[in-house]
Amino acid sequence: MAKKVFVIEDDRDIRETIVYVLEEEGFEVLSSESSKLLRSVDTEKPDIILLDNWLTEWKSDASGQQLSKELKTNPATSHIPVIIISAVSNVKEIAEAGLADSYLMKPFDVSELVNLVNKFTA
Amino acid sequence: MNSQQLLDILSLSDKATAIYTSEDIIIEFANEAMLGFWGKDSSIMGKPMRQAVPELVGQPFLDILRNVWLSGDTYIDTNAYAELLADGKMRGYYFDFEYRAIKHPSGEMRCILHTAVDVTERVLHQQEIIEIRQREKDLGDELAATNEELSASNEELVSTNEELKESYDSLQLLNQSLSESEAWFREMVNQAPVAIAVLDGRELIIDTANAFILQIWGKGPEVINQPLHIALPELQGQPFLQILDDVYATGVPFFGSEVKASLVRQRGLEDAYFNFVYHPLKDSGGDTVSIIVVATEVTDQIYARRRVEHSEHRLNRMVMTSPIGMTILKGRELVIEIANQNMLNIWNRTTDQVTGKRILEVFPELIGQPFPDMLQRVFDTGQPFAMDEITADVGMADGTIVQYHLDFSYDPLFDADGNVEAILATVNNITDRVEVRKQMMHEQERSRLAVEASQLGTFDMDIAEGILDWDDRCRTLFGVSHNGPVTYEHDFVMGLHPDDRERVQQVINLSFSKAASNGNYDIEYRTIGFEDKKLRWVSAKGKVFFDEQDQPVRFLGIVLDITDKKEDEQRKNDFIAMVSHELKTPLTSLKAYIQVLQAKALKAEDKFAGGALDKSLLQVNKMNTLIKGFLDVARLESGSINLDVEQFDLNVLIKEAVEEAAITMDSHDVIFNAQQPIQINADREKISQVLNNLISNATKYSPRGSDIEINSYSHDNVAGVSITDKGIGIGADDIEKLFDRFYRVNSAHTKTIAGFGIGLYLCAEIIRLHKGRIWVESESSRGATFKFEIPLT
Repeated sequence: MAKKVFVIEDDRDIRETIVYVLEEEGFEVLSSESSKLLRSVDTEKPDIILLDNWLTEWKSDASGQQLSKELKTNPATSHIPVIIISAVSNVKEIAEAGLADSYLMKPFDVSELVNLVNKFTA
Repeated sequence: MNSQQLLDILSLSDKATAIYTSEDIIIEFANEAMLGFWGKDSSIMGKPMRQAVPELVGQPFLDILRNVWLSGDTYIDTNAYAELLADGKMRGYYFDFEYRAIKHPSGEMRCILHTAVDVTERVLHQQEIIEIRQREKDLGDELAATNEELSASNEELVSTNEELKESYDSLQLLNQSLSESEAWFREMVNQAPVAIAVLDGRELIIDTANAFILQIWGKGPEVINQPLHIALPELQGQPFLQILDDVYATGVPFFGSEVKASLVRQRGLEDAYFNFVYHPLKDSGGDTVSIIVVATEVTDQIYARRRVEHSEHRLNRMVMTSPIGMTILKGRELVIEIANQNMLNIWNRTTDQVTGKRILEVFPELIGQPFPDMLQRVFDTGQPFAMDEITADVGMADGTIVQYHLDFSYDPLFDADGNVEAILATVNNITDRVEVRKQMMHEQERSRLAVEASQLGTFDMDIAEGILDWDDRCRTLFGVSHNGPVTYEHDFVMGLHPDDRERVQQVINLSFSKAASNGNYDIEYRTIGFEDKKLRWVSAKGKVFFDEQDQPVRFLGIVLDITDKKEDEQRKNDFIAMVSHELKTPLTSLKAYIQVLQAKALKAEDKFAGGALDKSLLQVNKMNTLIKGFLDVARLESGSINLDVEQFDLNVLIKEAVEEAAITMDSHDVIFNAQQPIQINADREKISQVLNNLISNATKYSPRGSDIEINSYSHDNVAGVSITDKGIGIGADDIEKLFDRFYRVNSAHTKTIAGFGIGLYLCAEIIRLHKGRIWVESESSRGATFKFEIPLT
């Protein structure tokens, strides 16, 4: 059974590419431009969540970090690996502060994306 | 002497003397003896001889006199017989006499000086002798005894005669010298190089005035024989007439020196200055008969001297009244010639203490200060020298040394030969000004500190007793407005931002352990105001004091509101994050597309598409590197780069960098021979960035196929890396600026090489943050070695 990946990224081009690549790799991908997707975490039970740090709905660079922190501090979701994606050079610090499992700095290599997702869903 | 004096002298002589003038033999003068011979009185003076002594008519004398006058030849005769009227009877007399012709220097007759001696007795004696001798002849030898007696008497007479002759000769000499003296006197007066006048009588009649004095007076010869006050009416009201009168009355000469006189001359009434003598001329009775005036005009000299004095006075006045210190130092010995009050004030000396002394003698403390050399340099070069706001140590009269701040200039004063003879030193004491400025800076600093201090809160905690003391500012930072007691648990811990509580308490616990922290406390945290609920950023620094058992007993420190700074930092970070997002988002999708297409091209075995996509990807990566560089600079300058320090093996990191370089480019061989592991504490990612940057530079600036050699080392508590290329090298001029932001080596070789000049600047900043150093060793066209070192601990 294919692993299920949540992709939350507000840039449509990036989102579509990620979805395409991951689907090519055999993942089942659910994607959204907003955090609303997370409301279905309980029902969809994703195996991994890719979270863009900068979401236009939040207007703050703490947004992805904030969502990650909520997921990781919620016992119901804390087991789900979270990967924060950001263009800022201190993405590592942001990911750590948001208790995320890993991070991906834009612009990333497609292979890097695939490796990370594979690693956390193995 | 003048003629009157001569006449006076003649009148006193017991030799009969008379003076005649003109062809008519006018009797100008005859003394008592002469009048006695003639049996006349002085009323005859001024009359012609013929009229005055009519009994002479028919005798030869009048013709002889006339002849002397006309010929100018003196006539001398002895034993001349003359019949003269005496006591109403004509009597015969014998005279030895002279009619002496006295002439003007021009040769014209001036007068005839007649001197005569009555030799009647002698002649009669001689006649008697002749008669006696006749009788002797007649009386024969009987009279021999008488004859002897007579002979003796005759001898006596001869000697008398000789005496008379001598007397006559001396009179003649006297007359001659008198006449010469008169002539000489006139000549002297007329030709004297000084102005001379002779004023006769109390009326001060101008008897003689030479050309010079006429010139001084501004008058012509017509003034001669006029009284002085008529000739020079402008003298009325001036002191001279009075002085002359005094000289006349007292017979005491008067000497005037540089006396001003106002005289009417060609240009009207003029002021002139004179040195002069009023010398009384006295008759034989000691009475003043005239005054000789000798004068020298010194007007030009006076004016010249006054001009010199005026200009000296002006310089001195300028020096003395200058509102700044001035002194004139004469010669290389630097003798203080003059110093004004301001200078004396600076020196703390009186005029007497400095004037005429060498400056280094008065102020030995100047030796060793720069001033003596500067002064000598002015002598050497003749160039003025000035400096502003120089510090000078000057010894006070009481021996203390006072420091002055001075603006000064040394201006050379030249002598006539153009040599520096003295220095005009101008010194402006700006000590007060400098002090005021310092005071102002001090005040500004103090007020700044005060403002800062007003934001500084203080806390003092008695750990044993559990008592916490906060000042007002500290209370404000925690949103507490009351002055009541505060506690650690309730007010401090609860006042912290919930996200910071744990972290702050961990740091405080660390500070309470002497072994772990030595009691030092330094942290930034957020507070939420207890009453106003306001979020504030606080920087806290403090110190924990321990007892002998190393137990914490007291905790003191300060808190500072850094909310503004933090908000500022936040705004910058937000901006950088926004720019990062906006620039990198398109690159991210572009890169992802390229990589997806690369996979497809590979599958389709489309080599052209694969090649094109490879190149596209390279461009995207290059673009990404540039953007990253800019953002790093922005972050550096906003102060928001923090080191994420961890321990790692430097050699492993270098190996990774070399491998990465090998993947991305195959143009150069990068050689690295790892030695022993070198464990360092640093920001791994940033050191990696430095390595990548230096390797990338080495490939850019050296020929394809050349080697790039990397070495690492550790010694003396530092770890270092060197990266050597065989490229174009770097010139000395460029080396200094190489690590400056946006600096690019400008040469034909480098024009084609991409970059914005921020790579080395970033490297330098990263190494600086690590408290290390980075440098380059190179020569143009000989390759370059970049090195950096960071401390091991």
